[in-house]
Amino acid sequence: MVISVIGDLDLSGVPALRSASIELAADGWNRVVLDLGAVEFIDSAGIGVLIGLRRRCIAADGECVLAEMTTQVEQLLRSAEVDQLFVVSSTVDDAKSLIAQGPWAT
Amino acid sequence: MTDGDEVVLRVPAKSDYIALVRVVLAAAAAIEPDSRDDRIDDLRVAVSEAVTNAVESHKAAGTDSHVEVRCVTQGNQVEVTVRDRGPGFDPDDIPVVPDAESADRLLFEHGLGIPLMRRLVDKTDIETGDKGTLVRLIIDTSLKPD
Repeated sequence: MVISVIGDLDLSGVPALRSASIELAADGWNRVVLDLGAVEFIDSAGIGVLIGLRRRCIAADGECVLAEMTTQVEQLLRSAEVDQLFVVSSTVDDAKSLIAQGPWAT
Repeated sequence: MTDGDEVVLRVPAKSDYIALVRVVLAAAAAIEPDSRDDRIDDLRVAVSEAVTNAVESHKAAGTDSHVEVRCVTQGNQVEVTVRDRGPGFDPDDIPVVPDAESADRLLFEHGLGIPLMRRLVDKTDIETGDKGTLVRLIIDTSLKPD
């Protein structure tokens, strides 16, 4: 499953992604590529929803890969010291390959 | 900071207005030609965190008061204050988020806002009480600390 996020991941933007994340988990999706190439801004509210998404994937024996991160997203994850929490890929295609080959692929 | 160029915003305590505050304050802070883009980005995030907390505080208190944001610039010195009329909070009651290496780290979706503010700007002061909270952010937009 590839989710493309457009716009700001702040207090106004996170409810839609959080709802989607919870619905995907309920429907059994455990391998998610999150395309962040069109995210113009992220703050701690956005980081929180990314953490929740990965937690739900892992809890279902899957994985979540962040792809196409913009400079602002990448820098903020580092500033918040949460960059190590995520599997990251430079492109969506690479992320899809990564998620198809990992131990969670079966 | 008492002198300098001042921009004052009074915005509804709604999440839809947070982006507006970010845009206005980032533009005001970037007027100096030698301001650094990365420092303006740091300020944008810190302001977003402060206004987010104010909006959530008003929501928790059930008040429809506006959030007041003030930005004073003197050259590259920028001081932003965000004032809300919420119920305040206990600074000692902020959850301690575990390190990224901890297996429990993924259990914490919240609690990053205030630590981020403190990391991103040069100085952060928080005055809080039962009549509201005042957050003061100070940054030199021409210097990147080590």
